[in-house]
Amino acid sequence: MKSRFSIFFFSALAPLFAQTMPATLANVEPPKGCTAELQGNRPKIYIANFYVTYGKKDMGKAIGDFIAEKFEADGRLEVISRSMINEEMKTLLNNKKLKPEKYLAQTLAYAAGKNADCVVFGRISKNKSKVAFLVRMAAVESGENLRKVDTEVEVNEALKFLETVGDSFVTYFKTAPPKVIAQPVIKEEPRAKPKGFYAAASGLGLMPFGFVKNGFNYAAGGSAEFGHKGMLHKDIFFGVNLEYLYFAPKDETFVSLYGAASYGLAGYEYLTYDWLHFQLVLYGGYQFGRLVGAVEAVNYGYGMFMAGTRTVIDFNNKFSLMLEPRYVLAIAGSTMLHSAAASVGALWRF
Amino acid sequence: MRNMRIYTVLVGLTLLLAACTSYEDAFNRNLDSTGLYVTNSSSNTVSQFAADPKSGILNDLGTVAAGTTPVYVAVNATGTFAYVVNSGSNDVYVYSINKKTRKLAFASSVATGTLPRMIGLHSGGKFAYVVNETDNDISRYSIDATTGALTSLGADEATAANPSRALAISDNLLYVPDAGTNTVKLFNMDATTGALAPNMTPSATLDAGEIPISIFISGGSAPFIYLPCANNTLVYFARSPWPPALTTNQISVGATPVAVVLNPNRTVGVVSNSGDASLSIFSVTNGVPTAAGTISTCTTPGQMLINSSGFGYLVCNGDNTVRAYSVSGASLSLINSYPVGTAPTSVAAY
Repeated sequence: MKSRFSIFFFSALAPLFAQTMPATLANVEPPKGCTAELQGNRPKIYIANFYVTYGKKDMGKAIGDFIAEKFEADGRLEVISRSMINEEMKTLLNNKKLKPEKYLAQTLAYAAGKNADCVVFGRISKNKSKVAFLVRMAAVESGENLRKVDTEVEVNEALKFLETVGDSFVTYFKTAPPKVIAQPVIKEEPRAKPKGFYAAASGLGLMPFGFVKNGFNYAAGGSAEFGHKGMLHKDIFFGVNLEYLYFAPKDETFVSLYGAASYGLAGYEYLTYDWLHFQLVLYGGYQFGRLVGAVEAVNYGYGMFMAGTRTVIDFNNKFSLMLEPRYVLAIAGSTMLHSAAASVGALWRF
Repeated sequence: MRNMRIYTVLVGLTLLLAACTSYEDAFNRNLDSTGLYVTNSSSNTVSQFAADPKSGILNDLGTVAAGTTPVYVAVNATGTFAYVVNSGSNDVYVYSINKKTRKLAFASSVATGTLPRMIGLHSGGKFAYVVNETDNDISRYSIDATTGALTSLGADEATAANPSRALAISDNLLYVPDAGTNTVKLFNMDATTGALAPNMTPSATLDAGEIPISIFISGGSAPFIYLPCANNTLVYFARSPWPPALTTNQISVGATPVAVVLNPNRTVGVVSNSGDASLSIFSVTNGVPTAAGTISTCTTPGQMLINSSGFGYLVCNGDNTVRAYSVSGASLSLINSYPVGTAPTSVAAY
């Protein structure tokens, strides 16, 4: 039974006592823009019609379509609709006085207007018996050339060349999975043990043994305590305690019995679970009281010793609930009176 | 300086011991003490005390009102009711006894003849008898076991004694000392109806000049009758046979003996000598007293009782006190003297 209870108790409390958060894995924010490392990024790519000074005029569009198909087949980039691009580029390329610089600038502007991250453009011209290719893939935001191909090929190898260019552009973007890194472990520091002065007030119940039990079943009262914790050691505290007890008579044999006691106390916190504190408390003091019986009344005094195991449950840094079963021993010479007591109270730290 | 500290601690511990011992004793006195009652004939009250069976000391519990001139008190065998004979108001007051507080509470009263002197309770607890001095007769009553109330059983029974001041009951026999004829008269009691009838055998006739003043009958299987007499002797004889031979059965006591008492185990007897303020003490063997000494006591000592705890309580009519004695063997030692009302006459306890 005991072990079952312990398991239940600690398993129930475990989440509450967790002082560290377990290391968790989290996705890194995907990179943005036209980056080679995609890592979950899906850049928008603007594939322009090529600027052609050789051969048929619609070859520029065909080359653009050809490269776009490569990217669409790959699927990792978001290819801006070619039909939309054609409308823009058609106007631009129909300008017979179009200069290469203007083509470049306007293509970038079009790409930016479509919120594209990457842009592919190029020029095809004739150089003697060969076809000259100037092909670029650039980042729209920075204008940085990410890949460029400047070459001349035989006419009959032009188509094959374009295919390799398209593939090389596609493979520029690496398919590495998103980077996963361990999120920094945030280690929660254990809450500092409360230190400093405190005041407490408790309600107290007591069950007497020995000859007192012949006249009184129980006693009830209260106590006030003032102390300091952590002066010598973080787990040790000292204090003073004032207590009042009224005993309830069994019958008319006794009229009343009460005692007022003053104690010095020392305590040690032997176990701490964050907001839960287990403490051993020892008291020593003196009790004055008065017994009024049907036959005789007498004032009395006893040396008092108490040992209690106190449980302090923090509501916050200042206020706590305090529970404490106690063993009570009253001694005067050879007379010893034993009692069992328990208190419930509130503690305030300041 | 160091010695001073040690002495201070020792004195403190001694005081602590004293305080606690006193507390425990007082506590137990409240639990264990028995009730003791004294009639105060001039103040018309009954003084109430708690008698500690351990120390013999009395705790004064105050007084309760009685009728006019209460002269005699008796407590029934179970200690639940007290009966006070009021010779001035010619009645008997019945009180219930609270065994927790040891106090009396008036319950009822019943009329008697003129100038009642003493009440005798039958050991069966069903009948009571009151001797009336002026009428020279005996009033008979039944006792309600629940309320303690007395109910008259009809016409009083003449004693043929003059004056009739005392009576004693032993089993189903009732004895009345008659100072006028220097005899002891015997009556048979019907244990079922409570009726009294004069025993037809001759009365016990004492030697000339003895003149019985009061009577005490011991218990046990062979009871003895003891008669303090006006010639300063204590006359004694076995209850059986009747009438007894009395020629040598007397022993000297002090002046004007008015009462005699034996302890419960019938080993010690004490005679109160009102004329010389003394107590004559006897050791008793098989009912026969042997002089064991005389001690002085209060002025005009009267009735005395000795309880099973070994303590004697003497009514001191002259100085309005009751004295507590420790009775050990055949010696008495005074414990304390306690004030009562005016002109105390009788004492009873449970």
